[in-house]
Amino acid sequence: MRNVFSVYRQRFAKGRVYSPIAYFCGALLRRRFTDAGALAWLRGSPMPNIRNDHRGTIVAGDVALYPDVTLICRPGARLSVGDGTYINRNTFLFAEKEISVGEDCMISWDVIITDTDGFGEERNPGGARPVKIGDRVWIGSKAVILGGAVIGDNVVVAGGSVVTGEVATGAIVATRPAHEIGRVE
Amino acid sequence: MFDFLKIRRLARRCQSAGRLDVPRGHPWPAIKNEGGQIHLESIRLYPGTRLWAHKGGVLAIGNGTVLGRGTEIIAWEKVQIGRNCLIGWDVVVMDTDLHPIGNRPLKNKPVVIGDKVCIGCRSIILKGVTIGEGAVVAAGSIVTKDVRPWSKVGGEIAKEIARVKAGG
Repeated sequence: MRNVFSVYRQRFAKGRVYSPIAYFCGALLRRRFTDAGALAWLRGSPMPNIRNDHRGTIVAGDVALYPDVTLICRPGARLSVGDGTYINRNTFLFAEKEISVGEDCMISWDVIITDTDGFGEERNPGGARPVKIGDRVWIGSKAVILGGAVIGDNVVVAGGSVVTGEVATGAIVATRPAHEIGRVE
Repeated sequence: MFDFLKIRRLARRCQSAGRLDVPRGHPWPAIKNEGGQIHLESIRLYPGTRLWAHKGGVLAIGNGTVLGRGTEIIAWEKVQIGRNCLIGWDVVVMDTDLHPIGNRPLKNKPVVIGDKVCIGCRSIILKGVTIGEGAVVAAGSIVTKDVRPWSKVGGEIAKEIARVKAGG
């Protein structure tokens, strides 16, 4: 039988390990998850905001959550985050149908991952398409990952980019950066 | 538990306010009214929203509009948002450049957003923009010119620029 203590003991045997207080605070979040590995809550308040509505499924492995992370799972949706992933501060994951994040991902701060078209939490004119993020993906800060994005393994998503389609394994993707449009007189 | 008192406090900052609905979450919406006019009808403000009306600015939002989390509306001259709009997360709507630079004086131009407009997350609507009724602004776009009614506009989407080297 797999109980809370064996989960955390297993976590200490694996790779990245955080401080005991982080795991202790992470245990406060376990109630909202359908199934969770060794959760860690790092670096302080505000507390990660996990909204499950008790009819969605949030499944997490050994995940580290920074402050102000929001995971919202609508009824009937499935949000799964793999082992070893960390989700940096103020990131917002909104699952209308399905979002699955792979193992050992590094999600930076202020990222929005949603399987809708990003028009908010109310209505969704476009319809939800599942989002699949592979393993060892590095998502830069302030990126926006919209519905229908299928990201392969070992991908680097540059900061500030808007990702919608398929991203091949091992690619580095970016939106066109700023360029000169005029001069200050 | 004291949400209705906090909503009363928000409504007090406005010149006119309908039924404001604030879903659960933090931080509570902030309305900063520095001598301007804020006219809200019955709208829904998600947590993290900020409405800022500078001196002489007019900020009007129509019935049934929903402002997503982290949206900021900055009105130094006039920002008017229509009815039943759907505004996504972290959208910035401003009718000003907020400060002069070099020899250029500060220019404020009104922003008018029509009814039933859908604005995607992380969009930026800059000064002087008129968005027609029913338009759709895709996520991550920066809108500097007018948008025709019932049209769809968007910015760039991420493209592959390189590959990760096999060793690292």
